[in-house]
Amino acid sequence: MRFDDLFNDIDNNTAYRLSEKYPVLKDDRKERLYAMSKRKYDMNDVFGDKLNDVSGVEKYRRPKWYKSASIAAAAVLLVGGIGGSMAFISRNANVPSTEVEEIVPETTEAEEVTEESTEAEEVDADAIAKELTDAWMECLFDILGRTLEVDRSSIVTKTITTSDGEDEFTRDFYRVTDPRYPTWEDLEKYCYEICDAELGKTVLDACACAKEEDIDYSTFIYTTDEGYYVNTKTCDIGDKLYKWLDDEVKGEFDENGNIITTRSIIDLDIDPDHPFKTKFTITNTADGWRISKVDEEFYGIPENDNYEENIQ
Amino acid sequence: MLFDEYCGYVYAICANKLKNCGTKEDMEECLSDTFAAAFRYLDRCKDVEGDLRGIVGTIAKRTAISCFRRLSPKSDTTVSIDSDSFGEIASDNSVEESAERSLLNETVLNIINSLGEPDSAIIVYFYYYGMKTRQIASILKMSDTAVLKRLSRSRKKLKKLLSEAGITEEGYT
Repeated sequence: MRFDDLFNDIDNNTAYRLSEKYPVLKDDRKERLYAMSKRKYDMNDVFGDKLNDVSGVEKYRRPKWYKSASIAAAAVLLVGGIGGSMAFISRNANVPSTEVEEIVPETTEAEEVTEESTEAEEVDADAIAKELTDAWMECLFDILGRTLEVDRSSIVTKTITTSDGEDEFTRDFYRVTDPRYPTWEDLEKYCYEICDAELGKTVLDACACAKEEDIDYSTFIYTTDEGYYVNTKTCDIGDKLYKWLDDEVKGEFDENGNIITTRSIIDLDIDPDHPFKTKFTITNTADGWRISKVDEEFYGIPENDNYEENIQ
Repeated sequence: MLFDEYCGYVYAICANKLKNCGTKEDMEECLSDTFAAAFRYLDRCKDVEGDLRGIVGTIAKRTAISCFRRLSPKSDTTVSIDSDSFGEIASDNSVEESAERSLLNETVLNIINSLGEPDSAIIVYFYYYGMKTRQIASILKMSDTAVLKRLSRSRKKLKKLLSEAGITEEGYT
């Protein structure tokens, strides 16, 4: 028997002891789960035995749906952050260089120009860090589809086949009418105004967006020649947003001239009371300041022992 | 109320069964399926009285096994007779093995409890519930790194205590 097997296949008494001494469900989650249970019970009460077949189909596809949603959410988060940063950069990053150019003709000594340029960067580090990370968060939710302005008066329903081709289900979409991003390409462009090229590509590659003809179970936003559409469920949870906790943001230059900043976040999907930190690396690219790397610091690596990373 | 009394208990059963193949959402689906089935059962059997833990636990276990098979069809339909899990499957039909397994579970949990907090909680959340260290850190209000370090140390200590109790990877005596 392997070590891990000791914790599998528990009997009812062990499960009861665990639930008593090590509970994991909080009150709000209990309420949600009770509502879910009651809904299933009520549905069965109405439809009788027919529901057994239907619920079986749902149970099979739902995990895929959620998994893809998680991937999409992660992607959107990443893209969103990048987008915001880019927007800030596009608006502000050129200011220091403009000032320098203005100074050059009036200055006879090159050293003075260098000094002023350096001072400008130091002064701007905090502001750049704040603006880019704020924009990152904003863009994140836009890309996720949670904060896009949509037309709720009409719903487009798409029939989607599961990846194994054995099942079909429907998913509803709203048309996006957000004046900030008339097309999906505008949102992508915004993303690249926050992220550097590599990070921007990573974010957009992982995004749950597809062309209308390529829609599958992982698609939560699709594009057409006339516009783009976002999944109704994604859109309707727009109130569940992440928030930076710190208003004062400190940006510091590392040895490579990048701006490093760390911000704290409330992850409502994990725990609304517990802050997590995210570290941003902001690089001065040819296009201006861009977020080039995002690290969640709470993912540590054990220093010793034979830790198995993915035991679960 | 049935749900309030047993939701944690059912969740423990569902999470333990699905921890290697399902997501948190799968566990919640399993829990809600269990209670929907339990509500229906109580509708049909109105004479049921007393402690319902056994009935609810049985429904939860069957529902979780059903979810497990659906989520991991390949691993579940082909089981080598040399595999450790082969014995676990068979144990469902053996009273003696079932009792032995229960005794082992109880012993292991007692030893885990002896580790003290928060180490025992970290072990339980990680190994029984299949939670990620980040989630554990959130529950225990610790840093992720601290959870990882404690997990590493606690596992070593637990292995030693289990070995002293006659429970080793070669078997238990």
